[in-house]
Amino acid sequence: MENKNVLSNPADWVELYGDQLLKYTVARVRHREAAEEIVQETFLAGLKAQKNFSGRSSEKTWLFGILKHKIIDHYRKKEKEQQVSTEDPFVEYFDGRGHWKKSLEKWDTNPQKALEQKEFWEVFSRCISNLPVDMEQVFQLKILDKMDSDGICEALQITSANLWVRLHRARFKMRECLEKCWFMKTG
Amino acid sequence: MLRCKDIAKLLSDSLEKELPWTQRVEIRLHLMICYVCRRYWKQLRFLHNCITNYYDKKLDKDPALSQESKKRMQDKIIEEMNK
Repeated sequence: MENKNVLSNPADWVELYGDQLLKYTVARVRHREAAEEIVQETFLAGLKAQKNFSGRSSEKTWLFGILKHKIIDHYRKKEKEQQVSTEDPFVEYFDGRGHWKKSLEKWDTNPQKALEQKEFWEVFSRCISNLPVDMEQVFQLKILDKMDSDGICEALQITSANLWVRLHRARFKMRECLEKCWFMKTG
Repeated sequence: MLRCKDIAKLLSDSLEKELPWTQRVEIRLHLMICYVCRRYWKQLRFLHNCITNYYDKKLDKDPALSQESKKRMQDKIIEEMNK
């Protein structure tokens, strides 16, 4: 006999899976309110799609599947809302011939020790939040979802050239922010 | 001849994918003579590790739903069920 999973009463979903779904979402979406909104939408979408539940996966896996789509939808929406940032982060650093205008600051000889400091991570977190959303999304998909570049391009509907540029800009800005807010201050 | 600005971009790319050997050679030669790019590369690798670490840590945090949020979600679901 085949073992089929069945759905529990949707009224119990929040109690059963709410925290797990939220945890997953909060790590991927910048604002908590937005994360809660996405979890709510997931439950409502699940409710509507109950009859499509095949029972091949567990209820939890099924709900997570819906959630992942909702998060990607959210990214795409953000992608459209956001004006593509046209500011050139490089202009301050490179001259017309593409050479560094001035040397970069030398960072602490042992930056590894920064990693153990709580304050460092607070600064780091602030620098991440200062990035344009489209840049952070790339990191989230890459690291949290372990997506490869094709997957990311597909999810965000961008070209791979666009993806490399975005990563480059994001890293460039992060480096600058860490230098200004951490390494130049701690010396 | 690649300029520092191009090298910086390629260094970032190299964290994602294998570059063609011609570019790898060019980068290597450039880094030998350009200390600013060398410094940039060192900082970039450090940053790369930090970013991975940061998201791993973020996943460990355990944000629970508040009772109010739970209630609100539940009510909404029940409301939809009764439609």
